[in-house]
Amino acid sequence: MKKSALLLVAVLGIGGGALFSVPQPDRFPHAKHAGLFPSCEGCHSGVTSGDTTAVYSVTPETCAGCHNGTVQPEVDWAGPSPPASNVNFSHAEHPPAPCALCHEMPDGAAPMEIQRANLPSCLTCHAPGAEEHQAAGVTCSKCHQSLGEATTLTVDQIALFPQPSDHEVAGFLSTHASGAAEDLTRCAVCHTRDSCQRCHLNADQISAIQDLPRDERVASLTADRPGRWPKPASHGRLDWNETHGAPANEAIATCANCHAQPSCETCHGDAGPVVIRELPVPTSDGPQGVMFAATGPPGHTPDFKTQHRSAAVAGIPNCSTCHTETYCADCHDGPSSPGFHPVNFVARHGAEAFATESECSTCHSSEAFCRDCHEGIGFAQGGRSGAAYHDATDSWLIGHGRAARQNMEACVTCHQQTSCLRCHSAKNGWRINPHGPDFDPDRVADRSEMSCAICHFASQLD
Amino acid sequence: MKVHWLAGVALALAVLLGPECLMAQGYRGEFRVAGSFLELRGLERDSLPEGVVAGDGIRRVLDDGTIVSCIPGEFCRWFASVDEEESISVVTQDLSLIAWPGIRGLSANVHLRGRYGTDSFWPRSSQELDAVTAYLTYDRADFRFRGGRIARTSGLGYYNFDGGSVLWRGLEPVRVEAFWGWGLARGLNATRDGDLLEDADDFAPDKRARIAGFDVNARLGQTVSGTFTYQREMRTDRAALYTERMAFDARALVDRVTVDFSADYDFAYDEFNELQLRASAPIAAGVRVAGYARHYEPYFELWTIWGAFMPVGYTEGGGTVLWSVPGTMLNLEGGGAYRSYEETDAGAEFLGFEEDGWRAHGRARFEHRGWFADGIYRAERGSGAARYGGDLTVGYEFAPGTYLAARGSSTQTFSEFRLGEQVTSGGGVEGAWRIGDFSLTGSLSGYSLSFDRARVSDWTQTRGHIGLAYRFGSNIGGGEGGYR
Repeated sequence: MKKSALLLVAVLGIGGGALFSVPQPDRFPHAKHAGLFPSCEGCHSGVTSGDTTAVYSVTPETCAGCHNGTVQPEVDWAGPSPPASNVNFSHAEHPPAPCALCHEMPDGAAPMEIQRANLPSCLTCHAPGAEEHQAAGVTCSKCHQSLGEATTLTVDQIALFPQPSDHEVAGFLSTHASGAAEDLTRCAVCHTRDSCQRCHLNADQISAIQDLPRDERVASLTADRPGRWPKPASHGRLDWNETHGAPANEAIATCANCHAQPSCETCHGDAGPVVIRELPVPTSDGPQGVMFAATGPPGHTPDFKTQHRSAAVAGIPNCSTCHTETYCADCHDGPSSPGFHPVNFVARHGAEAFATESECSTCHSSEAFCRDCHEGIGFAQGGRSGAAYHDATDSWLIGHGRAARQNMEACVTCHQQTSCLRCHSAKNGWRINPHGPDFDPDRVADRSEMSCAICHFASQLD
Repeated sequence: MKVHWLAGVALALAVLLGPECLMAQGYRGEFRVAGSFLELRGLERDSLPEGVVAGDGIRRVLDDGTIVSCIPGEFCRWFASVDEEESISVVTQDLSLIAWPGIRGLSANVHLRGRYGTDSFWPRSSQELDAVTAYLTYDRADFRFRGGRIARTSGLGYYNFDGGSVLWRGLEPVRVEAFWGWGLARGLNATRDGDLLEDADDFAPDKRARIAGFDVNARLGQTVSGTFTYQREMRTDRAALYTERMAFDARALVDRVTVDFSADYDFAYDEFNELQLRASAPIAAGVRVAGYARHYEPYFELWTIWGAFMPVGYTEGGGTVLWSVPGTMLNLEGGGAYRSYEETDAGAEFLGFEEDGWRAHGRARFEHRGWFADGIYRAERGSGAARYGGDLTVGYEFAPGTYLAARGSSTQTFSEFRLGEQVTSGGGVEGAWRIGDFSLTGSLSGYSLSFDRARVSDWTQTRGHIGLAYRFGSNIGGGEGGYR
């Protein structure tokens, strides 16, 4: 309790001082005139009468009655000027109360040792139970004008506005919309539309923000301050990259609080999902929204370049949201520009071709692409026996069957069918049977007897 | 210059649609021109009469260290690099255009490619104009109709064909698509009875193919989806099938885990050419792991005899770990795999060929204030070949799409069926410059090869590439984003 009291004093001392009153250098020196005026009403008759012009009835002429250079020295006091304040208070409208209730004097103080209005005394009635005057649940507008109405406050004074303690609670930025919806007037005491536009790219779409006025003083304060976009809990999920499409489609307006079109274009490119076009386009002098360092499009696993088959066929993610069909042809249909393979790929492609990590024939015709090049460069010499290319073993011809069964795709890149028919044909060759143990001739013949006829006479097929 | 008749149709379509496009509700496209040149030395086979070569047996060594293969009574032969370098240059031009001519649901898609080259050893560098795609799409309510030269991607791969397709969405979340037409050879974008295959194989098909098939896709919410595909290609004279296959692919997002399953099956040889189960998941902030099990069997079309040789496949398991180090722009990646080949039943075990294989890689990528570095080391060993080597790229990105980088690499390669160890080392510079809708790319590199054998392939080469791309239209899309 003691701690709270200290906090209260501190807050009231700093915050209350700024919000409720602004020190006036031209205050009337009440203490010096103690005993001269028996009651407050003599000078402040308007407080009780309701005559607002008579709240401060003392004028320089009144002073000159004594301070005429004869009775008392002349003074150069112009009288009180209206305090710069956003306090929404009228003595006349306030229920009658003893002056000391609010302007209480410390113990032992002289009779006219007047204090500024004491905030805790306001809370006694206006926010019973509140430990401090900016606490959540306290209706600010009960005592304070909106910032738009408080035209006498200067930029410097506004800059000193204290931050309510509930604004410092973790997650406040993510949840403040509900508070604003419940009581926008509370927000309006300290904020104008300019405050919200510092972060909200979609400020012109949010009615609560549009209900706030513009204010040049706040605009000058927020001009150089970057926006803050806290990461919602949902975005922290590890699968958010893969799954954010559905919620974005359902409620793109929510995304627009923090994201502009460039946010999405980082990964989706400028031909991304149509819904992205519903996001705001940032202006050069406005907030830019959340920007990403690209980590890869959603759903694109690390080996996606070579392993995108099921994703593309099943349609998760939908390729067409980012890519035109031409994009597929760039790689799959005989590349017209380097891209898929590194520039030095040809010099080392042999090992990768043997390994068939990616199926070469998906994009390249073994006959008209690979063999055409291998023949042209001299590797393939028509597959003649004794050609000396496979010189790793003296027994290559005897043992080549095993290598061929394991690497048939590689064989085809140099050898025509006639190379093999020389020995394996039952028509004109040595009738060496090349068929493996699981070969089902009927099954093949049902679909293409012509392929059987390359090696066999019709009579041999019966 | 050879111009395929379909390219003519596509050109006509482009001309007809061209003025329409200018007034269309929307259009976008890209024009690209890319030129490459390569200088290297080819191989030639040389020989000496067997009688003049000293020694016995099949393998002998000449005085200068050249290893030769001898057939008694005939010749001793070997391969060696030719003396002169060959140089080739290839230029490709691509024009892709998609337009919405103002009729709701109607769009036109054209992708033309022109090739102009020295027609040397580099494949498909002869002069020709080709229509990669040229089709119209009408997409309304439950149906999508498409006709022309269509590109299709499915679990069976990427196929182009001339024909039509109908997609029906009346039973959402189930979609059915049927397609039919005249098929083009896979990876070739040309008919099977055309010059390209005829020049490449004595038994090339003499008839085109009719293609027909269907897809069925079913989704369960946003997180589970599967597609079944059946496809067959038949000779136009109906005498035989070229292919008959099916595939099934599924992806499921289960909690944090992405599960992929792929299978494709060849009816003719009763074999699954691909069976793969793969899972990937983030396990901590910035850390993602992926693992898979895979069985692979090579697949060949029925106009060849290769499938009848009953080639065997392998079974493989592997995994990858990717770590994006928190608070930095450093990505670390590591992975590996092991595979085991099936029994070949071909005998000759005494030759001791590899029956299993493995591979591993490590990669680090770092970016900081425009600077980026990417280094990767790979090692793999298996049937046929092994290699160990790495690449390092260091560069600076001045702006999105504009960068300059230097690259170096070195790779050591062993061929199981050929003597010797070769090391290919080299490097070069590459860069890109994007100005508005234009982007310019280029690279220049050189590689040298050292081989621990005399008078064999000198793989020293010089390469260059330059490309220019221009994107135009109301909604320029390429999916590049900020992701390099």
